[in-house]
Amino acid sequence: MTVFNFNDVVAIAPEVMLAVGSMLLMMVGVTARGGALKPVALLTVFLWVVTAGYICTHGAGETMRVFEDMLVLDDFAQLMKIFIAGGAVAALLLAVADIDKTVMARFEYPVLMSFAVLGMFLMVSANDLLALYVGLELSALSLYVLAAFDRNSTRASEAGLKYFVLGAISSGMLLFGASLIYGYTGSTQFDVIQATLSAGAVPGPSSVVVLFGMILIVSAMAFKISAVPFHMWTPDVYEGAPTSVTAFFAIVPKIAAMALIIRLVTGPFEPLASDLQPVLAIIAVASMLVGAFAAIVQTSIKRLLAYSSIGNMGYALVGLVAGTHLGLSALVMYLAIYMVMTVGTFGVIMLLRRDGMAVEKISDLSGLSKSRPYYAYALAILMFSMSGIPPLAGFFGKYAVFQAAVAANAYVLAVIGVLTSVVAAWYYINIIRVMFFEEPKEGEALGLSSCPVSRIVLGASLLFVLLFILAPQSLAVISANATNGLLK
Amino acid sequence: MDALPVFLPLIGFLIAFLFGKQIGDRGAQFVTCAGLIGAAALSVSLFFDVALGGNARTIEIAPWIASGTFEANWAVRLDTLSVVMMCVITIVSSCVHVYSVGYMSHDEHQARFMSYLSLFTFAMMMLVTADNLIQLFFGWEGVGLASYLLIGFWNKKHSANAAAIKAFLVNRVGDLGLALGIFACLVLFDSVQFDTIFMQASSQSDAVFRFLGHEFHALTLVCLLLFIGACGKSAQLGLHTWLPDAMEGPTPVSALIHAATMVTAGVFLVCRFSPLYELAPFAKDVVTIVGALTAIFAATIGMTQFDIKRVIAYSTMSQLGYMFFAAGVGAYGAAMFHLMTHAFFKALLFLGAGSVIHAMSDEQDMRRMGGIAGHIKITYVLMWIGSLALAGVPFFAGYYSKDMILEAAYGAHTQVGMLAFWIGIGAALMTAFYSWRLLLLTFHGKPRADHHTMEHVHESPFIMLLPLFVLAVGAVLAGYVFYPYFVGEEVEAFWGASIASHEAIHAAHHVPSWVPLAPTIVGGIGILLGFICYQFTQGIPETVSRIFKPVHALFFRKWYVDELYDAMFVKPAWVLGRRFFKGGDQMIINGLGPDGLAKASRAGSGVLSALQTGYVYHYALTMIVAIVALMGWLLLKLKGLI
Repeated sequence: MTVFNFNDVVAIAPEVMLAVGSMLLMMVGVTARGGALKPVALLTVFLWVVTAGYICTHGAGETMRVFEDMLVLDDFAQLMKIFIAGGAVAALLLAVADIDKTVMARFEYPVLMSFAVLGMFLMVSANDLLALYVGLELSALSLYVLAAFDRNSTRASEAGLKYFVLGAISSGMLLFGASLIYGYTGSTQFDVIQATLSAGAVPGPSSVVVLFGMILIVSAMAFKISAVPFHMWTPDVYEGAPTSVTAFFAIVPKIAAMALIIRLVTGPFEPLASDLQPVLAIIAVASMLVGAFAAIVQTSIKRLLAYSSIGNMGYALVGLVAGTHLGLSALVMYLAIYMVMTVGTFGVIMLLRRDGMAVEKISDLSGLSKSRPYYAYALAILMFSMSGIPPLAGFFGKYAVFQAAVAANAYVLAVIGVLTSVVAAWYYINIIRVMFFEEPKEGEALGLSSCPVSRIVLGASLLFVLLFILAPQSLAVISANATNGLLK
Repeated sequence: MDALPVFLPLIGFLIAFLFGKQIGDRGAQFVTCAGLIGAAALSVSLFFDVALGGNARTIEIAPWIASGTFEANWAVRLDTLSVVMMCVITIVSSCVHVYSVGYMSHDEHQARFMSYLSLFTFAMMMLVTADNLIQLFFGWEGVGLASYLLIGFWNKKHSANAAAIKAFLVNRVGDLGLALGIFACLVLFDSVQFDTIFMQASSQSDAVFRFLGHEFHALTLVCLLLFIGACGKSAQLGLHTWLPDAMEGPTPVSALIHAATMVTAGVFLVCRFSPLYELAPFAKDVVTIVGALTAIFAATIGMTQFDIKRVIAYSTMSQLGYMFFAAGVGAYGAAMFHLMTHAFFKALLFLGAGSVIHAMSDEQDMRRMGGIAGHIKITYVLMWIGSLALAGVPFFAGYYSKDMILEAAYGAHTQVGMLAFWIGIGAALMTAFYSWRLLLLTFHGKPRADHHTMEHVHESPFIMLLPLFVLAVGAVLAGYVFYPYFVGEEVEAFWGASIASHEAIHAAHHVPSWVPLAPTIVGGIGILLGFICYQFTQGIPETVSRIFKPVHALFFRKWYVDELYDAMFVKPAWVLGRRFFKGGDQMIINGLGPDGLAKASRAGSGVLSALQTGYVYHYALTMIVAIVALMGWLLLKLKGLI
């Protein structure tokens, strides 16, 4: 029944390149003696850039299904892969300077990231519950290890373990859900599931079981994007993991998981939309509320950013709940903008050093406007953007999702979104207050990382945030094109 | 070019205010003084062109508001009424600007002070050159703002801040009347343009407003509402309480704003609206009575006060009363005449008083002065000139204008006119008396100040005396020179179309021959009484005040108006405000709104943080519970139970 088709392999050339490249890099790392981090990291970045370049130049055009319809290659997957590769490049460039000369300066670090990226590529292109699971696990396993990468630190080990245990539970939920769906539809292939469900072929009582399966799968996905109430791991893991890993967590996997949710909601579960939308709405509202309110009392920057990412995923989900093409396109745009802002924010935090480590406490930033004015202004711009203040990029992301929600008559969501943005603005602007209106701690001026690459990454992110207003349409058009084929 | 005198002060203000730090105090003084002197020169040339040449015109500057048929423009209306005001404003203001250079030389914020003076002058010029009610209101509020800023200029002094707020709030009451008057004009004439309003006035003379089931004569209502505005700005009885307190400001401010210009805006407004007042006889009677009562009321208080500036302030109020009852009996020319002469001699008196205060090391209480005539001879002589003009001694400026007012009141041959005439005569007696009481207490007798102050008594510098000379010339000559134009043979040609009627002026020239003499005679008696009480004998004032203790107390405590208002308005407002603030704002709005929400957010945040226990099994449980809850919810929904 299976005939090996060489064309299929060509079609997934980026994934092949990543897989082969990552394994080669591992070998390079093993053979190179000592101090292999930097060359391997550089090669990894090179690998990703080449892969992304290949994706850019080999447009999907027609939607393609390969390997017995296990994987799908379309505009959406293409754009998401470019986002993932871009985010990974930024995260790795920031990370190298952070972990260099620490116990973490090992070549496995970029290689693990590369495997994670490969897994995410598969997630984004998944068109089958099995492909989905394999991709998800490949990325998740790499991330578990990365979380505990600072192996001398008990906090990091704890974070890695927590992430692993809870991630295993979510994988279990995913598999349980997948088996229920398979049991009642007779297939793991998305298109078949969709066709079966929309034909109403599942009889009365069974439909409950299908819904349960759907809920289990969606919950597992919600865990990956750390949406409430599956978010509990996020603050602990963000705080415990090395800052560079946290940055990677905050930037890249979110995109892949969100892309997968979009794939599921518009694909196999599309016939169940009337039952699924309220569930997503509840998750979105809960995420926005928790993201806004729980962050208020945090004193650690990383915990704060954890809640910030929870809230931001809530806003992004608003676009999905809207369920329209406008909403999906707003979601994609939101993800891109959020990614860039997060890169910038972590860039500032990782450039500022206290005792050779990235800053951890919000109070560490007090008086930053006097000691490091440029970084204070950079972070201030990013925080204003995060809280959605025009004319910065963050405003346009929020505006797009709320606009989509209003257009889809989801007024309650839009209102809650705007109100929680106000609450969230408090803690973003609180950081600015600490930097500009509090006296610096005595005799403890923050050090500065000497890495020029990190500065370039930060500068690029700032430029994007500041200049976005000049051409807000371009990203909107890209997002709209990418999401065009999703809704039938 | 014609609009330049209006905008030179604005330019001066902007430069001094925005760049005061850069150009320094000297620069600011130079810019503002130069602007004002230039404006004064241009105004005088306009006076020759417009008033004497009969060349009235309006210059449109820019459109301001255009909404449907409603239209209001920035414009400079040049007719005799406005150029007279412009001359008075710019000349007095120039004098005050120059004087301030010397008077404020020890102040830390001279640039700011000069800029405020220029701002005031600009606003006042906008007010008098307006050709519609909206621009007039702009100027009206502008002078109010400048007055507020300048009264409270020494903002470290609590009493100055209190006085500034009081002036602002009391003026609000009057401004409400003015605003309502403007609305009424708009309703009645469908326009705020002066020309349109005056043209249609006679056709609307029978119009009525219906309000709460009553009918009101429309023009009377408009005039009364405008008069309420005038009362506020010109400190007429009822809305006068802010003026004496405004003396907390620096003395040049008192001279410029609270004697010569801003407080006369009300008189100007009534004269400007003479075409309407002529058609509203009842409103004219109200103006007359209020004016006359203010004249005598303020004079009684002026006789008992000891603060040199407050005496002059009450004198100002009293003289404003004269102007109003002149306008009330229809002698608008006479009102403007007195306005003009009064500006000179009252500014002279104030600046002279400032010179005295300067000499006495900031002492204002006349009970601690005396015996300084020999030390500051020039000021002494100038104060004499001012007092002679104020008391209406023949051939000084005040003589011509005050006589004219009283003759016009008599010549009206109405009961109200007669009342005003006799009250005016009484007030003239008191005016002369308190003027000489002031002169004698301040300059004559034995020194009552401590020897430390007396050692420092010195004549003011030349820069402060120079403006006094200019004003003194006005106080001496203005009456004689301008008499024919303002109220004499040339009256019709001079005023042109800017004033509706001169009947009362003509009638005033045909009164019994004792009438013109009466003010002079009572003035003489007043001066004599002053000498008897404070120079030739001793102890009379004390005896008199002891015998008429209740009356003296009534006058000295300013008829208890402040106390009355305090009990009637201020205290209840405080209580109400406190209740709204504490109960309404702080408890309800803040409690449920900002503060309450913030507190609830923090509490909620705390709860959410507390849920974050750090135990994996708690987290796992949460996930399971969430899934079960979502499933249960879907199940119920599917069964139609939700």
